Amino acid sequence: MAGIGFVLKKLFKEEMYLKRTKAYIYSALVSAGPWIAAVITVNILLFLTDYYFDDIAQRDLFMGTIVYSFVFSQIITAPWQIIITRYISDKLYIKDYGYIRASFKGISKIIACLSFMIAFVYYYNKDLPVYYKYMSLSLFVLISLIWILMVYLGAVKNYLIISKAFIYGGCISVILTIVSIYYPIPFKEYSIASNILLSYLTGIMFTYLILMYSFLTTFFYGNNFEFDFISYISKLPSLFYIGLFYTLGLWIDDIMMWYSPLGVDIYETYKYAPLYDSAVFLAYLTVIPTMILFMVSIETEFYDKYKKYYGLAAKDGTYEQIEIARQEMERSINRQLIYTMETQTIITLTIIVLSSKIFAFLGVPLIVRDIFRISVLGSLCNVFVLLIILILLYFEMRKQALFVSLMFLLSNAAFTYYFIPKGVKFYGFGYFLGSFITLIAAIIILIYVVRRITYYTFAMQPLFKAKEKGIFIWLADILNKKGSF
Amino acid sequence: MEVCIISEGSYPYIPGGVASWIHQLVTEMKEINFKILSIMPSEDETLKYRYDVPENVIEIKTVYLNGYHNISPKKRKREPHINKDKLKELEEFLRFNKDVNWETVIGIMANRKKMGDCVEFLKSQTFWNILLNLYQEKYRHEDFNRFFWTMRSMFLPMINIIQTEIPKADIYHSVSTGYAGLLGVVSKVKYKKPFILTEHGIYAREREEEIIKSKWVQGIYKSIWINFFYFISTGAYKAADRVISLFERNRNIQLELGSEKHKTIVIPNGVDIKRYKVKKEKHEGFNIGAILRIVPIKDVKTLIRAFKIVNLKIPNSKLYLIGPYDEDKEYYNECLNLIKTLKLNKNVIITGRVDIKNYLPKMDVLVLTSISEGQPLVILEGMASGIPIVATDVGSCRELIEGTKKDDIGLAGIVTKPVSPNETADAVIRILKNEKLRQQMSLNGRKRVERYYTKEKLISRYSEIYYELR
Repeated sequence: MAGIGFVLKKLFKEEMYLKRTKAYIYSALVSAGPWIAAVITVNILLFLTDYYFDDIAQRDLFMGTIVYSFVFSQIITAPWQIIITRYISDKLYIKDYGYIRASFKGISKIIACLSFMIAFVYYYNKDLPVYYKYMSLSLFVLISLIWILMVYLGAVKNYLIISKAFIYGGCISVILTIVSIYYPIPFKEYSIASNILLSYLTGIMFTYLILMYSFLTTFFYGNNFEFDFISYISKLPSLFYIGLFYTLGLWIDDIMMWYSPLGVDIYETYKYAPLYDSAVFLAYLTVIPTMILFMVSIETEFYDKYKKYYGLAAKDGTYEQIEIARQEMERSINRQLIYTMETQTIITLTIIVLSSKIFAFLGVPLIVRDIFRISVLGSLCNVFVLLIILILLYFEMRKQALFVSLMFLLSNAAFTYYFIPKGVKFYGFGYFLGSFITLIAAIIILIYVVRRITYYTFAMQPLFKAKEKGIFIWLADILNKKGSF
Repeated sequence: MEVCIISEGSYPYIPGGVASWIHQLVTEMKEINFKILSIMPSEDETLKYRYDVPENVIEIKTVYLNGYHNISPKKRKREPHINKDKLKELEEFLRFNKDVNWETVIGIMANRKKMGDCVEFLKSQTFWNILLNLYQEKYRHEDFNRFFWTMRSMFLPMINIIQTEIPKADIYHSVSTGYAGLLGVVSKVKYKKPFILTEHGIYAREREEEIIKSKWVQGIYKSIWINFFYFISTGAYKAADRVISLFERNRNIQLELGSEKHKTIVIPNGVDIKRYKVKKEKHEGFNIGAILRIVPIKDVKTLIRAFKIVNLKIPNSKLYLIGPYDEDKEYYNECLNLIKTLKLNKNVIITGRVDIKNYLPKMDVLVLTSISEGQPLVILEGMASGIPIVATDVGSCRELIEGTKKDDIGLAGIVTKPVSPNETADAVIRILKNEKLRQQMSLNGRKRVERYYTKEKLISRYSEIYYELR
């Protein structure tokens, strides 16, 4: 995380308000851009169709396709994303750029196969027209591949291109939707849903192509070790599970709520809970400020302290110097976390207060507002759980990070399960309590770890090199020898 | 009776003085069953027995200093289950405190269940705290990373060795201090059996010389490593029921290093005098023999320079370098160059690995210019064969050649200062030019070996000790 840090630091040195604002906007753009662009696009599409048609069932069908594509593509790619992130940063660090393009080909093949098979099995016996199934399947595969591409471009700080790709793709989706309202393709069944889905799919494909072009021009050289990265699952299995558990934890309350009284069944294809889902989706948006603030602080102040500390520890610092650097680092983490927490709390509370009026103005159902209010608090806790997991990973404290992510999954599931029978008034409490309790545990773990980090840094180093063993290392060898699937 | 001999870097894999000595002991004591616990630096497929192991050696177990490679390095940390008092003792141990209670410490360390294996322990918070205290007390200004890794690499093989499964026996007999001595202490503590220590050289001194010269340790770490070896040697001296040296000088060093006087004994090497009752062969000119490996510690260069001086005075003299030369190729080549430069090609014969018995009959004098020795068997063999000796004043060479205070046999050769070609040359010339002196020395040497340095004496003294302690 050096490239963007450099630019930001220059911006922050100028103590001028204007420049600072520019820095924040830039960070906002790079970290939240794609997410905002995606949410906005989908909402514009829904708004447009709402405005021109009043077939709620078809709107829900489209919505279901989008929700399932986003949720499940994230769940299946998240474990790989975190493995790949680590793999890329290791390879970038030792300047072995050839492996990056190769691993991209390898992971894309795996993800494409995996998502294709899942979608194929899922849609196979559903009662939907074949063309709709094709488009849904393509959307699912494409979105999965985009998550992977973003990891690669994110690793080399190509945030701007990511945002641009989403914005351009979104514009195309919107334009095509408008066109299709006037000149719809005459699909036999579910014409409206099929037309917006096609428009959306085209936009997403465009996004994918832009990202792909950018990737290919950045990494124009590659070797043949396409599946080398698989060995990382054996080497660092905890990373895989951290990604899996955290992402599952993030969606487990939604999935459980789909089977609550709020759940609806759409053409026996999608079961989801529109009221709960939209409340929670909106709640996620409220933590974007924290993501931005944190990213800025990680990239600037924290990273300096972190580098100084590990520099002293790995080279020639005396223990006293190392300890002073550690304390500076600890103070920096505390300061940044407390500062972002304060800011986020103010933002969250403001949003809670304002939500009644805004939601009333927009005519959103009361129940959404109530779920939203508690989910906002849940997201507040949850985003800090994520940040603490990231900090723990910075310190190579994978076991602890794994514990936190597993705890998040289990507590969210348990509390959601507990509150479902309690009635609508308690919906969202499971997510909140799960996140809250996990956050408390995560903070305790973080404090414990940071105090003893020097001990961990030194004592946890393996005492000598051993031969690497494991099924995935074996698998990586076999696949690499064969070249490709 | 079963005796477990613990050797380090020697029998049955690496030939040399100590290994031959062990071989002699086990071959001669037929009524005793021996087990060999051989410590080697690292697993090596080319390792093979270099001796015909006799039948009464009923077990040979080899442990490797880097044997920790079989433990997973990724093991999680585990805190040792030990109480505060014992922890304190352990801390004193890791600080090389000489007053430490070895029995307590070895009792803790050898217990893998309580202590954890070497990887687990070196990852534990307990070890970290001890190390940090030590660092802050003594090494505050050194960079921490190197300190930490040096200490770790020091304790890693040590703890692993301590936790070795040791063969059961009635008596344990280490043939050096160091890691072999450590295992002797462990067997004494664990099995409550007698422990005998025989030292041919002084292990800690030898390591000290090696470390001072070495490039792989720098700065304060040289002294830490040296202290480490002195420390574990002291442990062996203290725990041993008998501390045996080959000659008086080494016994005094052992006393200095912490062994108790009443435990120390001198038992010199012994040779099979029947085997060395050789008939001299008549030959042209003079033959000077040097039975040695061509390695720096033997200071072959001084020998060659000395021979140049001899050769100028006695042109029909020849120098035989008898023994292997493949151990240190670089040094060997340097010697070859020196021979060439001094134009001695025709008069220096390098035999390589041979049976020395074929050469002894035609030698007029044996020369040794080593800078360090214990009690060289080759001198005893030479004396047994009736050959006058010229040797440097190292180890027990003087004792062998001139005799101790109580013996009135007379000189068996001439003792010289180390690294002085002139003195060595003078001594050789004196012996070669004086037929009478040569004969006297030859008789004296044979007589001294017969009286003090026979194989029978050696064997009977050890067997006495074994039976007494059992």
